Formats: sequence, C-alpha cells, structure tokens
Amino acid sequence: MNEQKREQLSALVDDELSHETSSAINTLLEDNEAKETWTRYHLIGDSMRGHLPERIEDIADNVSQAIALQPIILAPQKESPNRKSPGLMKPVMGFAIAASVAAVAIFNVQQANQSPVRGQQVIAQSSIATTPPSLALTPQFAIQQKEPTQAQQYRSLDPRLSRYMVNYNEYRVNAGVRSMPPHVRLVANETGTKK
Amino acid sequence: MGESVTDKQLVERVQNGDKKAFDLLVLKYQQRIINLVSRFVHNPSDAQDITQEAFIKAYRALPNFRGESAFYTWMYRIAVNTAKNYLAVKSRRPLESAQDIDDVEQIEGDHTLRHQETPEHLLLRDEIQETILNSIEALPEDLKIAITLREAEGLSYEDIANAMDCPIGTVRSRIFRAREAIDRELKPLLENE
Repeated sequence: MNEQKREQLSALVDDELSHETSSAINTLLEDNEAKETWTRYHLIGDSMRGHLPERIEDIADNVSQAIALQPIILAPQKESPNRKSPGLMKPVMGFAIAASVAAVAIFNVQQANQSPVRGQQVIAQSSIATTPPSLALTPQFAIQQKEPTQAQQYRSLDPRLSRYMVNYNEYRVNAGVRSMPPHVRLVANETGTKK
Repeated sequence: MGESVTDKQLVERVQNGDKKAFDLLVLKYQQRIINLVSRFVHNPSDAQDITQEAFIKAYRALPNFRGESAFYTWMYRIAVNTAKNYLAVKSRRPLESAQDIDDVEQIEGDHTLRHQETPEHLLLRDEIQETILNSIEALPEDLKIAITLREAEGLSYEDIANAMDCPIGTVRSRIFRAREAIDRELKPLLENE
C-alpha cells in the first residue's frame, strides 16, 4: 500500500473522503495490510478517547467465522432518489390498464356478436337489463332489449363489463379523471345501485 | 453522533450480501463495544463473548436496519441489550455491583469496574496507551494539535482547518502523518503480542 493509499485510508477513518469512499472501501476489502492499518488507526483513536477495554483482543476473526456460517443477507433496496415514486406513477398506470381492459372488452363484444353493432351501443345495450325506465333510454335501446338472443349474449357479458365499469368509475373519481362518456357512467352507476 | 458515510456504505454492502464488509465494521467498533459491555460484565472473557454475540445479532438484524440512526447507535443498543439479557439469565440481578445499569450507561471511559484482569492483559493495555501517548508527545506541534483535535475532540477537517488557519488538505496530511508516526511505534507492539 503506497503513501497515497494510506493517506486515503486515514481520511476514510475520519469519514472525510466523500466521493472517494467507495474506492477506498474496495481497497480496504482487498488488501489485508490495509485492513490491519484500519484496525490500528481505530485503536489509536479509541485510546485517545479513553475507549479501550481492559483486555485488548481482536474478536473480528471469531465474528467473521460465525458469520460465515450465517446465510447471506439481502435487504430490500431503498428507493433511488432519481427514480419516480410509484405513488406518482400509480394513477397513470391505473388509467392505462383500465383503458386497455376497456378496449379489449369492447373488441370481444364485437367479435362475439359478429354483427355491425358498435362498441358504444354494446355498452349501452348491456345496461338495458339493469337500467330503470326513469333513466331516459332511447327507443332504439328499448327495442333491442326485446330481442331474446342478443339480450342473453349481453347478459352473459354484463358482469365482466359491470365489474370493470364499477372499478373504473371508482378509480376515475379518486384520480379526478373527467370526460367519461355519459353512457359509461350510466352502466356503472346502475350496476352499483343494484348491488 | 452523526451518521458516518463510511458506515452507511459498509452497511449497504452487507445488506447486498457482502459479508466481508461487516468485518470492517467489527474491526472499527470492537474495542469500543467490548469497553461498553465491560461496564455491565466484569469478567473480560464474558465481555468478549457478549460482544461477539452482539455483533452476530447485529449481522442477522441488518436487513431490518434502515439507517434511521447511526450504525454505532444501533449497535450500542444491541450490545447493551445483549449484556442485560446475559445478566438476567445468569443471575437475575441487573449488576454484580450495586451500580444501576442506567448509571453505568452514562459512564464514558470509566475504569472503576476493573476486576479479574490478568496482569498480562493489563500490561498490554497500559503499554498500548503509553506507547500512543509517548508517540503523540514526540510529534511536531502542528501534527499533535491536528490529531488531538480530530481524535480527542472529534472535530471535522473543516473545523480543524478553521482552528489551525490552514487548508483542509493540510489538515488531512497532518493527521495522516501523525497517525503514521504513532503507528510506527504501535505496530511492533501488537505484532509481538
């Protein structure tokens, strides 16, 4: 160990290295002579502060042997200050997931129907079974409700969509998301009301 | 006690699976912890055993250490609790003397609890202290002041630089040279042991 390294070690003992700390620790871990010097430098400090015990013995080897038998510990990593907080990302991610689920659900309905019914109509129609008359439906929706085959299909899809809409509406309110189409509010509110 | 950057980095390394980094913490604090435990347990062998146990407990508990206090402060509590547990198990009495544990915790560098020491060990300790003191006495005045302000008074390099009216780099160099001079006398003594 050269003089420069020893001076660095001395500053490390005093916790005065700042940006060089990591490389100095690496040196210390790799070099036994440096480790012995580290021990003596601390011994000098302990002596000057009156911290020396009556019996001066090195217990580090014993502790090291005992620790060698212990499993390696791995603590959870702390959040890096440069990384964005999950708390901030959560609403955005939630919105993205909710939008994706909605798109998939609408696509599935269209596929199941194999008819030219549009996505918005499907959602609105699926609400017919659970919407009371007081909630102003258009005549077109009322007619479609009377068709048994389609109504059964929609009823089978309804729980999934309803669950999604309830979840999404709760998320929307908490996250302060606006501009939801009125028919979506209708479905979600009504499902919640019935439950 | 302020948080040591070195300790923090060593703790993080241990938490990432580097067992060797824990050795450096043991080497750094072992004498201070043995001295602390010796205030509770008068038998030096017991004090060493308890200190070893305390360090092993600390190693096991390190995954839960979040750095909210300095490592030494945390280690201090583990050592004190380990010593208290030892006493409770051994004799169901808090201390062998009439001195209360809380009073003992306040004593810094007290040597009134000196018992059961073999003459060889007392000699070595006294010899180490005498060697270090003599080496300090023999230092040039600027090195002596720098090392004393650092080690005995606990001043930072910046504060020492202000006190001695010199650059921080000079303080770092003076402290290093002082340590080198003391270490030249100390090293043979420990190697002969």
